[in-house]
Amino acid sequence: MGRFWSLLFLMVPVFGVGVFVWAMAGWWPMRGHWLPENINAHGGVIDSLFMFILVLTGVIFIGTTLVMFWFMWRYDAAANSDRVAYSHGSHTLEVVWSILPAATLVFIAIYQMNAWADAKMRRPKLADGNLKPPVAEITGRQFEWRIRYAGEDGDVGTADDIQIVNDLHLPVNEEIVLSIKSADVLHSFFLPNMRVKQDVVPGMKQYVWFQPTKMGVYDIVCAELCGWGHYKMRGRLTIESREKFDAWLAQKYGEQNQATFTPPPAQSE
Amino acid sequence: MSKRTNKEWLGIGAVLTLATVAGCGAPEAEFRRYETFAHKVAKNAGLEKGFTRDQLQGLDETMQALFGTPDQPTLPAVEGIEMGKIVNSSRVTMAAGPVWSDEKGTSQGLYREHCAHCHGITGDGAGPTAVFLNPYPRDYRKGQFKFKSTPVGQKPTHADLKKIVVEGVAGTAMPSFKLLPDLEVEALVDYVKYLSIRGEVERGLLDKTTNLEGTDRLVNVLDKKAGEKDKAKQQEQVADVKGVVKEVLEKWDGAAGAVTQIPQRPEMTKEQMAESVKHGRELFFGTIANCVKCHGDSALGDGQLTDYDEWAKEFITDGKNPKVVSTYVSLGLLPPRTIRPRNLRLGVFRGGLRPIDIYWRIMNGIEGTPMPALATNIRKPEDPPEAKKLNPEEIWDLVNYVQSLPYEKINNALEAYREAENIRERGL
Amino acid sequence: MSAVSLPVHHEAQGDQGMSARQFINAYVFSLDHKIIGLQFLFSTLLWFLVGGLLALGIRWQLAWPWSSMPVIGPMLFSGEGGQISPEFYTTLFTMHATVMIFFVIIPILAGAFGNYLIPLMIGADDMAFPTLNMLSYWFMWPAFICIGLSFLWPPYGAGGGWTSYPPLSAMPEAAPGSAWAQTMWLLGVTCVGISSMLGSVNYMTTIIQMRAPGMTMFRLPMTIWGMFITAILQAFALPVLTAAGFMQLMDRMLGTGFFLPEGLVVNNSAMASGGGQPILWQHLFWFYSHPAVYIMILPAMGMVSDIIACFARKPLFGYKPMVYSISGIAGLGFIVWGHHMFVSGMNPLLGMTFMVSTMMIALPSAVKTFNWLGTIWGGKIQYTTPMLFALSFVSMFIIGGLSGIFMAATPVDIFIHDTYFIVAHFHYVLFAGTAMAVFGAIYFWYPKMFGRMMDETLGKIHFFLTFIFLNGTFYTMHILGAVGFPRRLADPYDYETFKHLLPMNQFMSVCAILMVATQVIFAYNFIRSMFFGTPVGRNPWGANSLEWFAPSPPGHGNFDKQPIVYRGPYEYGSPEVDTENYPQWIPPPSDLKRIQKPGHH
Repeated sequence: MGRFWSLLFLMVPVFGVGVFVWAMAGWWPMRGHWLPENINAHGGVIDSLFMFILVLTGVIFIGTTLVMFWFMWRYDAAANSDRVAYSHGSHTLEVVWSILPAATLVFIAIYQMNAWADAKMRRPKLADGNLKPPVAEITGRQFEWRIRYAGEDGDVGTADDIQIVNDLHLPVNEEIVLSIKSADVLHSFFLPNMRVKQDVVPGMKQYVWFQPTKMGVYDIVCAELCGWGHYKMRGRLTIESREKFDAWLAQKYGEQNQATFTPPPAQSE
Repeated sequence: MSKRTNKEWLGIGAVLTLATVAGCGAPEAEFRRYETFAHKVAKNAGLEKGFTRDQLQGLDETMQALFGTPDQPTLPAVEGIEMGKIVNSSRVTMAAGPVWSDEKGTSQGLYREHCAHCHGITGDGAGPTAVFLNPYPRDYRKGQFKFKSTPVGQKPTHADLKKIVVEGVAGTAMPSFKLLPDLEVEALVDYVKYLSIRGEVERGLLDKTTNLEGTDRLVNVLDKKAGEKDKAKQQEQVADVKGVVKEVLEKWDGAAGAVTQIPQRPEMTKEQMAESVKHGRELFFGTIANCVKCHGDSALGDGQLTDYDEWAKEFITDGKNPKVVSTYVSLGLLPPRTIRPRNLRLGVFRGGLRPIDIYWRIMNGIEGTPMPALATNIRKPEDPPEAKKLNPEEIWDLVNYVQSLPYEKINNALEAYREAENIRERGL
Repeated sequence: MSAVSLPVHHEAQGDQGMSARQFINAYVFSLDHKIIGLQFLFSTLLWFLVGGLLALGIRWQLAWPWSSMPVIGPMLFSGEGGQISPEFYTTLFTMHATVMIFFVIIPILAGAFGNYLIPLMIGADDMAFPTLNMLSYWFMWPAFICIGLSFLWPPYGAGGGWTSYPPLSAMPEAAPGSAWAQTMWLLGVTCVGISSMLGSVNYMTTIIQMRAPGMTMFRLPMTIWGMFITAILQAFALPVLTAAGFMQLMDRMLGTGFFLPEGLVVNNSAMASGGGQPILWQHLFWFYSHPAVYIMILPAMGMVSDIIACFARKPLFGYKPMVYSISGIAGLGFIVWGHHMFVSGMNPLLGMTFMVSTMMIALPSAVKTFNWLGTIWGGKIQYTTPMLFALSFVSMFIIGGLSGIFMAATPVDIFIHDTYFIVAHFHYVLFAGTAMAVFGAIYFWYPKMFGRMMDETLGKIHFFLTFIFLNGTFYTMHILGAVGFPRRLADPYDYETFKHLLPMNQFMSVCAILMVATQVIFAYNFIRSMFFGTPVGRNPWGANSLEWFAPSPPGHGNFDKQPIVYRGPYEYGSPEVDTENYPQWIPPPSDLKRIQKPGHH
């Protein structure tokens, strides 16, 4: 039976690697079961870090599990007539397998610091060196994303803001800064395609930034439990050309300030 | 020894499996009877013991004949009313029933996917989630809706309901369903109308039930012994029921024609606007509009705090008698809460923040709430000049004032303080 | 050895003629560490069933959203056609995690195995403080009752997540599950905390003070080291959680506002009095709950080390490095809590320091894994059921450990935080890791506890099916996580990004259902073997540590002869003797061959 069990454990690296390769290749039935398309000019670094760690851990995974399989196969009591190796350990080995992983881990830690700083600490600046102001303020509340675009005055929180719910439009190929906050409980502003995620905390104002590179329609996800309707808190992100964006914003401004109403002529269904 | 015990274990296992399988059968969703209203009309009619079981069963059967079940809804056919103009039956079917998708991936059972857990299978605003929400979800059965373009007493238009579904109701638990495909939103709006019509018909039929005599039902069941007279009576009863349905449908049919038109807001310069806001403020505190009475001196919505909305008041009037309250709560009324006037300084307007939305609220009032319609206080040409009435354009001054309130920071110490001091900005 | 008839008091013999008071003293409010251990074991196994069924509820909703949920649907939501409400989904995952963590893993490791094994393995007749020990079990009952009560009324449990983040949890109006159920939850968790605290001071004292003659610290089996370090972690981390729990309780009941910002209004509630910060809770909570992650795995690592050495018939590879890495994990475990909060709004600079410490904590785990592999190298592996579970622990821990590196890398964590990648990670550590180790430990020590063997064939079938289905359920979660599939969504399929993941979720749910069904085999084997298993002697596995010196099951007072310890617990295949094992209590033979032990220092 020992052989059977070793083979079962051999299935761990075989299937483990297989499932990942299958998903990465996007073969049926796992089409689209991998990182969603990245459309943020600064998001690639996160993807490459992910892949780097995947390869690194993958090698260790394959190595250790294959060694484990081999030991299980080779040292099965039913098939192994050798005498038990009476060993309490090896000082050299312990040192080697402490230092190697330690060096690798320290390397990963230092290697990624810049990416982290770019994503969370170095908010884009204007040409004059001032921090770039947010184009819109997103407020998470149970259970929707309330969006306020700064109006003509460029400030959010004034009477000429354009207020929209759940439907965020942004221009392509521009450095976007958004200020995000919460009206009630914790939410998390998650743009899978931008590799952006930030919890919003009541009482705190935070900023996220990214640079969309591709036009299209994407999801805004709430990624922090916010109550019974957590799953309902779905937003839509539309990336479009500057002209279209301006036109859309102007149209929304017009709709928001609609100051006359004549009922449309009665129409039958 | 061991063998017998193994058998015992098998027996226990079999019993457990059977119990599990028996528990697996999916129950069918059912419309709930309008118990609160039934209790009310029976009490008002002086029926000490309420309706008889037979009467209620007759009601349920009539309701089912008219409207079907949650899984298979039907629309009543009434002469002289074009049903398709009010509710589209294929969309109702799409919104009804359990949640699933057909082969093309079209979502079915939309109402139960998105709405039923709050508004209830019956549209009674008492789904499992409802009791935890503030304000409570709307009970459609009363046929009243708050945010609409038509005056109190009239039904909302299709567009009014659709706007609520699409935009949500800001400041409440009603979320925006903007991201649903248009067809699905339409289906949901039609289903809401269907449930509302159904509820109002049930109310009408319950009223009729109070007049039944002897062993009569709403519509009598004819047995073999039934004579011509019985048949004629049954015909008459059916016509009666249809009359109730028709009455409800006519109101929905007339909604589109009842919309309150809004004259163009006058173009204003900045100075004129400031003047208009100032005048609006005077009206706010004045005796005709008298907004201050409820919305309070600083428009924080703290003028009066003890009133209830019609959905509660209908049953409990003042909310003070705990015995009455608990009777209705046990019948399905959610524990009544007082209704608070809006805090106008938050910039959150439940019915929408467009000028026309606020105009409609002021002009038409908000149905089912203590917010009155100003329409009755608008000066008409035939009014004597000394009559205490507002000029039509003064409504716009009020709208302008209300729209300016959220940005008048100086009056709102707490908000101003929060903005200035307490929100930590991280400028890294 | 087993043939020796023993003059010890057998519990079974005392049954007849026992007065009610005697029965209560012996089996209910017992002071005997073994009875208390078994009380913990039975309670936690029952809760394990509850937690597993709750998990199936989650899986059902994710695979067949809004369809009638079997059993639960007709019971609680018959008016809705059996379709659950979204707030019930939040209570499902909240209570699944709560039950599994606070009622299963922590008490089954520390409470059941800690209690049962510590005195036996160190050669003591009982714990240092038997009454305290009894109280540590009976403080679980208020917790059982609180949580049990919270299931009775809508929405049938707390719904703020097991992490109970404010403001959602601190304002009763904020969520359906945050009303009184959340109060019950906080009280329940506090009682679990008291229980753990009583246990941990007892374990520390017992291990330090009550070791048998010759049992030096470095002759302790790894199980005891795991329990010892766990006890230290609990003693130092728990007060923080208890204090934080009381603060949240006061926020809810007295309006203190420790965790609520100025003027907060949720669901049109009254304004919070304010002055607090929601993130403060996260710091306090994770200051306990990250060490708690190690509380949930270190004893399992210890038990696995013992089982592997025993069935490899070979000394544990690198005993001291193993001890040092456990201690290292415990030390570092106190300064890594912030890695749960990288995207919480915490100062990003702080994120960097937590990232470095988190990377470092992977190191001792790696050392342990290499040492386990070193242990089976050159051995004579006996594939018994406990050994299979222990080996699967190692194999699965490799997956769970390596996936942790992804989320330790802060930029990657931005993407995978709160996705199924995290869910995969901690289920690999806690289910595929700890729970499998616990199964192994039950099979391993069952003969000691009940004097009878569990059925090996059934055990192997149980292992095989569990192993297959757990990987089917949890491995695929990594893939979902890579797509960004978020946790805790009742219906994620409205999102365009996640729409196509439904078939994968259905596959996982089928695996999960089969995995839970497989446990019926275990339950049957467990209960049946108690009465009909093959009776065994003292040392059926040919193991070395002291518990195998005592009768099976050990009577009151544990040992019929005073054990004296002559060597470490892993002397298998020693050249000093001809037998495969060389137990700790056997005196060296008089004609001891003096040989140079290789690699000994």
